[in-house]
Amino acid sequence: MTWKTVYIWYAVIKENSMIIIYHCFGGSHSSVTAAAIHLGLISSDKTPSSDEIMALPYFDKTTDHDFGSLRFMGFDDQNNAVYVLGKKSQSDRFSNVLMGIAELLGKKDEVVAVNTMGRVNWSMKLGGFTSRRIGAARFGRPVVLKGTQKAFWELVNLVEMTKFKILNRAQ
Amino acid sequence: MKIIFLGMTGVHQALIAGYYYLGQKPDADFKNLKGFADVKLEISGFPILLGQDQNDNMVYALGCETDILMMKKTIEQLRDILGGEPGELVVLPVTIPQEKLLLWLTSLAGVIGAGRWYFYVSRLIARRKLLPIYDQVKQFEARIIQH
Repeated sequence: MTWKTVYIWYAVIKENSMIIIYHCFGGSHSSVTAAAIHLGLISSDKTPSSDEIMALPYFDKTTDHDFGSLRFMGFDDQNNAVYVLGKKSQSDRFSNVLMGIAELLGKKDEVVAVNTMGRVNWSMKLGGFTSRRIGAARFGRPVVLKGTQKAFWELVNLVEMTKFKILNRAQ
Repeated sequence: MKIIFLGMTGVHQALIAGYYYLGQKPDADFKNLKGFADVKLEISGFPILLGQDQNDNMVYALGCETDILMMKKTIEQLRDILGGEPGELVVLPVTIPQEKLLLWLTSLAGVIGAGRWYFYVSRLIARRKLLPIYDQVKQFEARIIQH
């Protein structure tokens, strides 16, 4: 599905919906997990199993080509379009960059950018690096999965805060 | 149309290119370039408004910290997702060989504070690269006319 199709779909379904962008280093682990929690693709009531996490779209499957690409994950229950993005080592200011661009286009209120890097633990960093950067998924994947399970409740908390922020904006 | 000059930092080569596009060259001490080597502007992450060209296009400078082409791709995709037309927002990358050094200095200035040293060192580096920056702007002008 291309971004054009997504936009048309998004525009048709609901004019007042928002675009939520979860971003992390590779757009492969923490942002994907947060987006999945947001969309209800995995339950936020219990820590997901490794198989459940691996079944998520894009999880530990991205390549270098995906850096900087806004990848559509789905629509939430409010018809907001949820995207994930890998931004490499850009700092916290990256959310402001995205918001600044939205403001230039007169769409500041339609975009919410969420940095998931603050919820990433060392297991996720080490496992993610081994799996995606070095390409040794066999060794890195179990580590990043453990790390994701460990960070799960932190990510649930971040998603809840994001949903609260969206609710406040909508009001 | 909005024109964004995109550099690894937004307060050096991208800003000089934007001002040059608007017809303003730096004077001897660079004091006429508002925002040059302003670390607070850089850290904020927001596009820096430089002015308006003769066709009423708004001109901005923006820093991207790491990969310029990756950031260009992100901005253009976001524009498209938000329903913007390609001609509504144009991103023009500006590069110089010392951009990583300027980025590193900016990071350092963010930690230890940007005193005069940051401005002077930035100016020293940028002054030597004005011609390549101007050349890039001249190439962009042809592209902007197309839009």
